[in-house]
Amino acid sequence: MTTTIHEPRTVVRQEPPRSDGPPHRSLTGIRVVVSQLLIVIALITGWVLLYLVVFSGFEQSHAQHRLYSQLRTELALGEAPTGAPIDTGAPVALVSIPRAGVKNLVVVEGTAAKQLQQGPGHLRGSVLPGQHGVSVLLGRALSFGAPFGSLDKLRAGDTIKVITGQGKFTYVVTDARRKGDPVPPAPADKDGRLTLITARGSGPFGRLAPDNAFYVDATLSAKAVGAGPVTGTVADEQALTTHVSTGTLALLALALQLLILAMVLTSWARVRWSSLAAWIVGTPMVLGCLWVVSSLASQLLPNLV
Amino acid sequence: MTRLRRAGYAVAAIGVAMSGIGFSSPAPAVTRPVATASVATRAGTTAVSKTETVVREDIAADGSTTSVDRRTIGLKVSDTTNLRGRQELDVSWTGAHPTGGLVSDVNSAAGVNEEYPFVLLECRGVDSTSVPASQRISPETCWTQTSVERFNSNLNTQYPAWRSDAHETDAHRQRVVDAPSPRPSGCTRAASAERWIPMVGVDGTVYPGGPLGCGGQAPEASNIGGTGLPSNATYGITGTDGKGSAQFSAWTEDENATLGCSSSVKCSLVAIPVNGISCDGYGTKLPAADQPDPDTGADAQSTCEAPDVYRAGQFAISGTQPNLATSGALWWSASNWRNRITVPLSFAVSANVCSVVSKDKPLEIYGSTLMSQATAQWQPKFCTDKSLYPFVHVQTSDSSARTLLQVGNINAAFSSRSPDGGFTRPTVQAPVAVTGFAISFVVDGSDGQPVANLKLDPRLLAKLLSESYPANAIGKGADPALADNPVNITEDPEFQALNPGLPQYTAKESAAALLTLSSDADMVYALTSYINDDADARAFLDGKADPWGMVVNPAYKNVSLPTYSWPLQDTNNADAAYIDGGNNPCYSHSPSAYLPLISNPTAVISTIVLNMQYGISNVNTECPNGDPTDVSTLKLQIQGRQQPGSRFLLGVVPLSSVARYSLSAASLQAGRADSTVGDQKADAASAVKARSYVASNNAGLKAAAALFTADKAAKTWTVDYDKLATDAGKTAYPGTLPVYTQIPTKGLDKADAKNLAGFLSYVIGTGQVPGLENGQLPPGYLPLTKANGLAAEAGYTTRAIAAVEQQKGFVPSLDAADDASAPNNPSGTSPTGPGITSPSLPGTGSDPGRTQTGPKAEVTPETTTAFRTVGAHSALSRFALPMVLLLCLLLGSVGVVMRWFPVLIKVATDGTGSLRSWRGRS
Repeated sequence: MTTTIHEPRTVVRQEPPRSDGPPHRSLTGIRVVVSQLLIVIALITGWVLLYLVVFSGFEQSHAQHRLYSQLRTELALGEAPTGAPIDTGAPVALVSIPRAGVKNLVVVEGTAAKQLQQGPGHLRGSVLPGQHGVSVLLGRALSFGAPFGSLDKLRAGDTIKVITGQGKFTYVVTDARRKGDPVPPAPADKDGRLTLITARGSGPFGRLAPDNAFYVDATLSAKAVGAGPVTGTVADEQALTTHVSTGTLALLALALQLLILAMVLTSWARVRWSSLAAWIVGTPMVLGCLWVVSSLASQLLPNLV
Repeated sequence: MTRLRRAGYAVAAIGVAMSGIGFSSPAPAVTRPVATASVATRAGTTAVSKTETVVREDIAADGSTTSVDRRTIGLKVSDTTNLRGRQELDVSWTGAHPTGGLVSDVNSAAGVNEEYPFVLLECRGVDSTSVPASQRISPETCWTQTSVERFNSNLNTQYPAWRSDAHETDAHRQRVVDAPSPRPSGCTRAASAERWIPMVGVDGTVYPGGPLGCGGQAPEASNIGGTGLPSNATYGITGTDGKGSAQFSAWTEDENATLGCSSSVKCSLVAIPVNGISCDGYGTKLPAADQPDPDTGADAQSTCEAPDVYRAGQFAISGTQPNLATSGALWWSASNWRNRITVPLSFAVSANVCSVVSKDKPLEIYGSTLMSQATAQWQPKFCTDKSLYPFVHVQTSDSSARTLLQVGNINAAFSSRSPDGGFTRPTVQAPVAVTGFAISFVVDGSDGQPVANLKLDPRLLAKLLSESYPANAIGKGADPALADNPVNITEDPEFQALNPGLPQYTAKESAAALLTLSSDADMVYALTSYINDDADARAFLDGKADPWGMVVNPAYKNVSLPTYSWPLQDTNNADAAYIDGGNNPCYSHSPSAYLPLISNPTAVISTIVLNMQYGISNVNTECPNGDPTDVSTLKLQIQGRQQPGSRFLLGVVPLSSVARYSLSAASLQAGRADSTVGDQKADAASAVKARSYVASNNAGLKAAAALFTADKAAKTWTVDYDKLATDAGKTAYPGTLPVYTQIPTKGLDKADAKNLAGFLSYVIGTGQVPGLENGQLPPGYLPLTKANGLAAEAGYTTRAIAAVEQQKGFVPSLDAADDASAPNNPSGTSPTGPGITSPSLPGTGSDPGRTQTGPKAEVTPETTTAFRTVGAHSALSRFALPMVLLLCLLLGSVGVVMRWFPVLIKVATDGTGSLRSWRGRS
């Protein structure tokens, strides 16, 4: 009678030990999530910079296309504005500053951040270019194509050409000034002056931080035409002001929701369809929404940036 | 795959957070779930609307809850930002329970006896659970003026309605709640049930209140309608359609230091739609130990559920107690308080900030009260902006400011006229504002509602000022010559022809007078000039009866006008029968000229504005509690606040106060007015009706400014009343008046001159931008811009800057061309340009090409600080993008390192390992 004892058998696995030690999933998980969050924030800020410095320029050239054909029609018909009231954002003049690389840019009425996204703006409360008195144009220094980004290259004697509904005018640059520099005397009875305003920064990040207003004065080389009606000034449209309108914020909130929706849809598509299909459909959608968000959000920056 | 998905979620999370930011910025914090808010921007102020659902419940003996009354209430508030002291907010609501037991003055303590009032209170704090308890609103931080609004007691039962409140905490349902311990000595013995609602001041002081305020009240509180500001606590009336509206006066720390609202201490407008106590008389919500026995509980429940005493829309009956459970007296109860709708108020930085911010002695500019609203908005800007030097506006009469300037006691004055006889030292008069006076009115129509428009002509003003209305029988007794005149303006056929349909307030003495200043003012000079240059008014004052037979008070016959202050010339006491009759012991004690008591002009303009805002009659004939045996009680008092529904008041106020305090201003006769003296009554009535009446708006000011006459000798622009009284002046508001800053151009010390030049430079530039924010020009002033036809005036001020700065004794001429060869013209240049003034004014400067000639050729054109570019700076653009770039690089690299840390370590260790082996080999 033999009793069989079933001894447990030990199976020895011949494998090298785990190189990464015992599992510590939680720590790795936190590290991965945090690092991904940081990378995403970095990507977003990178996009913001890229948009402001490069992509927003496309937006301005698109707007300029439309404004140019509108102004051309108005000039041909003799309907271009000659005095207040002018609709905000309507084209009023065509400006060329050869030395600063500005060629046939359309000037719009109004100088709030929104109007300066479309091109240089004409300060309300000042006369139109070519008319006697001081006409003031503001332009961005960094974003949206930076129409006035190279104003510092101007020297006394350079020319600025302006076309309005009242004719062609040539201004000659007299001086550039910053805070504390003397203001030139008021133009005499039949003279006209054009003052261009943009922003300039200083220090190592000077190009990225245009924080102080920079003025260029130019006088009309010929006799000025009579001044048309002028509206009152608007505080929100002075140099380097930030104007936050409830409308912009509401639109921004809507655009952000759209962006979220686009991203949620893309994630959903990747789970339900395939990664490739999700990327093909989702990328343009997300980028489009991101673009709208960036365009609206940039209205919250000071108008000359 | 999962990695990408996680990244997607992270982006989505950030997007959600950002969209949250986008939403929360425009809308004020909404703290309770049922309320929704929307915001609409209007010219610098923000209107807010909100909705809230309110429920009244009923708790049965078995603890079951039934909903008795459910309503959805909408609330609209006209302005919530940039508020200033005593600003009137338009509040309207819909959907509330109709009010019963109406009182005529919704700001009085009698409002607590209304059933279902819509209570509006100003409370310190915000309605949010995310702030510390000390910064939250509660009934203890809400302002009420009188003790009865903060104390409830009952002598008959231990269970009055408020103890049956189902939503109240156990501690607050005790017999005596929040009474100070020990009981203050001045207080009566405790009643059967008491609820105290202490007031907590901004400094933390607790004012317990109690019966008649015996436990101590805030200094601003009063038990009876006092002589101070009427309360802003409003027991608003809801109509039977559920709608209602009220004007709410927002107070800052200047009006009420206990409440202490300011730009830094947050306050809210709290609307409490009183909807009745949710009755839990059986105490089912209480711990067993605190529950009343069943019989008492049944009594308490029936007390709490008592039927209402008044029908909706019924007026209060004197001596009748309302249904306490639905009355305004329990506005603080949890059942009502939980239904509150809170609208955060944001106050503008006031001039008080200057004493805190600035250590330097500010510039003092004396003079015109017409400037008070503009300087109230400019002052905080000047002391918070480092590039500007602070100033204070010391409000005095224009003429005394000019005198002080003449003798050299002060350096600058606001004034509307040159001194009679001119300045004795060179002084420039720089236009800084175009504003004027207004005839403000508080008139209730036959429907009891305030009238919006009123027309007045100079003859009516002359009648009011010359005390030609006898006011009442006593006035007729004092001045028998006036016996046949209409008793007051509402009985005057001329007034009735202009303003048809108004009720005749036969018993209102205040309708016989125009409240004006007893002190000097250029405003009064303008008003009397306007009267003097009108043919009808002058003929009336010269003794010719008007077409309806009214004659001037003989004391004023041939009165000499214009004048800086209206003289009180009537010297007739009331007749002996009245003095001896003893009906008015104060008057009998010391009789004086009677009609001047009716007109009773005030010494300061702010009193008139206050009276007009709150409907206070300044007629000084009252003798409350006059005791002939006690001389100390025998002082005449003003009539005080008139009952809304039957008010009639007229007063002269600065135009800027009209918009600031939501006053009504009369349209004044303008343009050509042919004399009606000797006409038939009907002809005269149609003649005065046919004339043009102009409202005191910017269009009227602009038309009047176009008719200013340049006075080349005095170097000012003046109002020409003869020109206004032609067809050209048909749309011009005749109350228009320019205000100048008068500054000597010789003898000031250098720092003062520079600061004053800086003042002018700001005021003529950004200071002319209309708006409600600090530094801008408030409504009631016409901006000095070319668009308003004031280019010459603005240009003159711009040229005056140089003259002030240089102190060479030079006063610019009105026309710049006249100054080109002036020997002591300090500068041929003129500071116009975008860096220094906002409105660019073409063609106003002098010719820069001309060279200086004359004996003082050494005074070369010189650029001064006032001519320097002011510039603009934005801290946001200084830091925003560099920070974004740094953030991008920093977070990007940290993220990459963290993400692939093991890989990097591996690469690093492998790298050093191979390095070592390489070294070992060599």
